[in-house]
Amino acid sequence: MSDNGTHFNETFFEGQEKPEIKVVSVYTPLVYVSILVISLMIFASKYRRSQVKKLAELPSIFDEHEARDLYFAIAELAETEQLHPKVVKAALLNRGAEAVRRTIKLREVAVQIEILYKNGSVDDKYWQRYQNEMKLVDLELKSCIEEAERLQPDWPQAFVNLCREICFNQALQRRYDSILDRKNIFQKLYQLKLDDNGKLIQ
Amino acid sequence: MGQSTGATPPVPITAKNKTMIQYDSNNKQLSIDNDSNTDRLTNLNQINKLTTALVPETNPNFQPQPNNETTNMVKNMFQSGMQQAQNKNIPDALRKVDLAVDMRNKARKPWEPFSFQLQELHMMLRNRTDLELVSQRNLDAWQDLEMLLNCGMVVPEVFIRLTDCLLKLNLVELARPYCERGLSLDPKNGPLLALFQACEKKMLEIEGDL
Repeated sequence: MSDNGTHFNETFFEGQEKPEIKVVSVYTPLVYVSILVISLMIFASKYRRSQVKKLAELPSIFDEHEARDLYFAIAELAETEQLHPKVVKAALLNRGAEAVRRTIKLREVAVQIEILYKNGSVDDKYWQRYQNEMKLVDLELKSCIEEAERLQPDWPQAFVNLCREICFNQALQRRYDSILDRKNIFQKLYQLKLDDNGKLIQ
Repeated sequence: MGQSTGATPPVPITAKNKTMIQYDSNNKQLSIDNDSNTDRLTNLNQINKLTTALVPETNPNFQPQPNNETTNMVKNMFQSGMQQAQNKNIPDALRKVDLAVDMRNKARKPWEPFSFQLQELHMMLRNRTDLELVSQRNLDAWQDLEMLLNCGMVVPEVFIRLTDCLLKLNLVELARPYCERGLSLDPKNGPLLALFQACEKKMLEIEGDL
């Protein structure tokens, strides 16, 4: 009598119960993965939205953006009233010059702010505000260039150069215009008595 | 980092106050009623100035280039003032240089090259300051010299004039730091050393030590 060398006539597996195999649809892993992906996407979108909301709540480093507000107000006025087309162009150039000014101001202080942040003299919130502002000024300049292209298709190349010159010249003019104000302030502050020709009365 | 620090808190332009912007079709200028926001008014003035410069511009692809006509006009007026100064007619010379500076402010387009405009203004302000010092208009000279310093003209000559006019205005405590600043640029500058001694003497007089 032949056996398998174990003095038993059955194999090792024949004595055990067969495991129950549950039939699972081929779509089950797909549904599982899709639920996982969708929930991750919802979480990511909610997280991103809350981050954007937090960033939007951070106060700007600059004052109000009057140049941009005025441009939109004038563009809206142009829809209802007959404005000279160059008024809108002038407002856009002024907005572009302000965007250039803000870009220059932020780049001027970039090294100092980075050093202050690394030393711990500036908190994370301020650093985030600064980073935020950098992105916003870039977007603002891009938006101005797009508007310039919309107003005059071949203008963007010259537009940026014009804005840069206008920005510097406006700064120079503002400084020159403040001479008279400063003169009056110092005259009061130091109680200087001047005659009609501007000479000091001793 | 804002342009101005007006006392009035800024009120953003909303749909309600957008109507406040008024347009004059005759002179193509914009204005805002009942608004005391300095920043907004400054921007509106800048837009009006740009409009005034843009309207006569016929080339749609204009570039930042100096206007030769304006340059000649300003130069002629300035040279006429300098001629008056050579003839020792200082009040007339000052009036003409003042006119040349005003002419530059009004006639120059905002997009003309900044480096050119700065150089032109430097040259005229330097001469105007000398004329003001000669005619003893020391307060005017002081403000023009501050303007020159703000525009990056940090040279001992400016500090000599600043110290001199501040001493003449009896503002020794202000004159001394300017004199020291000038000496830090050129420690062996004769006029500055003399002015420093004058400052020291006046300080001792004020403190009652002399």
